[in-house]
Amino acid sequence: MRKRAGWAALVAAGVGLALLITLFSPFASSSPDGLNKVAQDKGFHQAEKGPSYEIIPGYSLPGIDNPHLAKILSGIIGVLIVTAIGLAAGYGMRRAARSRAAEQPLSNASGTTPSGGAGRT
Amino acid sequence: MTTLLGFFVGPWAAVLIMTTVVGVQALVFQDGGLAALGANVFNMGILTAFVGYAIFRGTVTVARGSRTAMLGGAFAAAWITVMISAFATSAQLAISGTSPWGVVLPAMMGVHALIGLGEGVITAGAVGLVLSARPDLLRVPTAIAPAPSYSTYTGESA
Repeated sequence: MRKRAGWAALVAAGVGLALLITLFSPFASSSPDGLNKVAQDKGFHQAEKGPSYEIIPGYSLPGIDNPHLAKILSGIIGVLIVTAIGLAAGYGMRRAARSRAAEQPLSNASGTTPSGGAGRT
Repeated sequence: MTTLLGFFVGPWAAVLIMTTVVGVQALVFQDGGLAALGANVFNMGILTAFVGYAIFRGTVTVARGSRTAMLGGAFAAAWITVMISAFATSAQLAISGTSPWGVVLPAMMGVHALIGLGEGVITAGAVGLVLSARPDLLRVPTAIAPAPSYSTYTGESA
């Protein structure tokens, strides 16, 4: 049997691919998205309020002169933040599921059945 | 996007992932908007994840292993959820008094009918690739899972 990649390998490959794809972010379409286009065409884009603070507005890292590099770097930052949040959430849910499983014998003794859906690992 | 995600991780996790993405966009990149975050999570996350997953699961059940039917179901799930999202956004814009129903609804549905085609092609393409390589990654009940013939390459073992 050919060995199939496990979840850890898939996650690593996914993050690697996402980082690789940031290299192509300078080629992203600069046209407005569907809602923005309609808002401009129909004149309700002025209803949009500006942000109260700015970190990386417009997906271009401030302080970098080369616009393409600024966009790629902002993409890398975005991938890293989302990956970190995702891994943290996954770790937290796994821990919660494990501690729930540890309590299971007690609740089983009292006649309740383990809830379906939760605790998939 | 969320629709395709849901095929692999289920609708609940897909909503969580989409919320992460939209939240980071709003908080770090000043895109999408903090005040609109709830609407964005609902329209692009919750609505699309559950409706898209239901449509795809329904087709997988009916398809009984037919690859063409499953790809059609993936395409339909993507296009329909884009349209539902556009409808929900239009309704919110109309109800909030941002733009009248008669103006925003036809414009949004028209633009997104085209966007949905692109979304549908990408979704069906991705599902097609996964069906050929790793059909086990699709989150459908094993009783109606794609036929193992899709992964006959495992027979080429050493």
